[in-house]
Amino acid sequence: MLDRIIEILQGIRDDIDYYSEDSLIDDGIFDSFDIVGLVSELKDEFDIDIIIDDLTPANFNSAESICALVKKLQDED
Amino acid sequence: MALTSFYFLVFLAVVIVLYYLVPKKIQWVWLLIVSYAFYLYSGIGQVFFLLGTTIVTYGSGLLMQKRRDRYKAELASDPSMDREKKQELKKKAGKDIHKIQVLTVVLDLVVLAVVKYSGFAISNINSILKSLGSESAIPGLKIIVPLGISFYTFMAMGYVIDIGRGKYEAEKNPAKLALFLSFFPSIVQGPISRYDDVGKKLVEQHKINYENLTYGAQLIMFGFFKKLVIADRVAPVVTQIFSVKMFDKLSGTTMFFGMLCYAVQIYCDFSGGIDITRGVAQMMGIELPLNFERPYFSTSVAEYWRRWHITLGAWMREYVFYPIMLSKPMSKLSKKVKEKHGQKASKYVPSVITPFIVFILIGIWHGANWRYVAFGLYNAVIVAGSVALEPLFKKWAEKLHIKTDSKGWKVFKIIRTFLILGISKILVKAASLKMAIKTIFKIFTSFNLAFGSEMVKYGFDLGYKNNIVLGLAVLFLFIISLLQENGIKIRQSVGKWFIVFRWIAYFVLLIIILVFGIYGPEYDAANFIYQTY
Repeated sequence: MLDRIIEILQGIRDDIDYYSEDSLIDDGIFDSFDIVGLVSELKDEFDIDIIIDDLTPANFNSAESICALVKKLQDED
Repeated sequence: MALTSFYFLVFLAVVIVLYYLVPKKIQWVWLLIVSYAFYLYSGIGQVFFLLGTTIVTYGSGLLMQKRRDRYKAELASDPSMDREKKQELKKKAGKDIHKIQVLTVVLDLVVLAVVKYSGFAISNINSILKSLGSESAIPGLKIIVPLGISFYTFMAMGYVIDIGRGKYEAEKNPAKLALFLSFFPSIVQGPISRYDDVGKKLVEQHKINYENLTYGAQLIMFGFFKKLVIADRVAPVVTQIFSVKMFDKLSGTTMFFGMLCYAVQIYCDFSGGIDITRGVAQMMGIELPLNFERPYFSTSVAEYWRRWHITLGAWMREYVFYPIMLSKPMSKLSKKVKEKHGQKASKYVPSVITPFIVFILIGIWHGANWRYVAFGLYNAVIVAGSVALEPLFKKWAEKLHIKTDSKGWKVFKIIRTFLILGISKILVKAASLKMAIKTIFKIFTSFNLAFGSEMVKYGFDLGYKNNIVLGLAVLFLFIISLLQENGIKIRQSVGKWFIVFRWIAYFVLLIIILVFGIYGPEYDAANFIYQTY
């Protein structure tokens, strides 16, 4: 799953090393437009429902945290 | 009571001394008392609006909390409950909570609309009636806009939405919520704080702390410097240049100069006021959120809105932008576009539509006037346009062999963004939308490089001495901002200086404010611009 998420992230910006980057939001690498684009791709790809409360910096700061969020939401379903 | 008035400083001294003298348990009660005393000073009638909003917000929060607690109790009462039943209960509770949430937000908006926008609506209806040949007109309502209503109403709505979303538990003590909504320095012009952040800090116990006292006092002094030495000094020039009577007399170049002056004035006025607010809070150990991060160093309009009035931008992002972008109609639209025009287009459509809604709201938030609607639209067009045209810009940059990571390109982008925003500020400052458009047109068509002589001729040149003071003060502010932009923390750095130099610096700044500050009658400074929003 992580590799697929990184592929999606590379579609947004391809100049970041997503395996090591852990401040995507805190450092302003992704803006709100990027987040919304990412959310709609994650929704389609993994068939999950991401709501506004999930849009916290902690959930989107790294590929790993995004992966953890997707897994959590899949389990909830 | 203006934050820069002599009376406010006396009031502040009493508040802070007693804040540290009263038992720590009741420090927050003291803050509530002085906040309401401060508010009452602005008019007894106005306090009812604040009280009403507080009571409705408190009650609504509690009702939602009760409904959520009931749902949790229902779940806990039957551990063997099947998934379908759980889902059903969740849906039912969600619906009930949503109803309370929507009703409260609508009520908040109705009060805001009646107080702030009814005059605007009535005058528009009357002008339509007049154009239709009717002689009857609706009489205007005479309501004084309560101090800080746009700020505390947004804070109250944020609280209600957060409780509805289950982000944190509702406040059980109405007095604590009342303090959050009325905290005296920030009620004037923000920042728009959030309950889970500032609400908690306000009721914490605070010990006297040398660092907080000195850092807070420094921030207050810097705010005074921005407001009294720069903003209020340049204000008369701006007023004259954008006055209707001067329009035919002045060249476009003078108006361009006026635009630059207004950009400096509004930044120093608003951010100076916020510095004072944050400084006051810090002296009592309370950290308020940042509202400015050197916005004129932004390389794009979208970035500017993340660095100017940060708390309003964050509010809009959290409660308007994301909900619209993630809403069902928007994702349906996005899917439709995806089917017809592919992945890329589907990303752009919501990214182009939503800024229009958000920026028109930001425009209207500032006030009831078509100028503000135009201001919102202008910003939306720039932000949405830059998202839509981003691939094209990238291609051009490649073709023209522009090094997009070079310093020169960055400086170019900063100046370009500043000028684009300057135009938007004319929309805010001009006497009417028509005058604003005429002014912008004139800037591009009427030139006179000796614009200074025009100012002398019509008697609103500041004079040699004032021009020097203003120039040096702006240069000082620019250098400080540049250092901060490069990661240097000024207050911490000054704090490490040898004690004698440090105190000399404080005294010099104080003397500059006292000698070069612009004071009105009874040493009261002019009111803040954002106080009227």
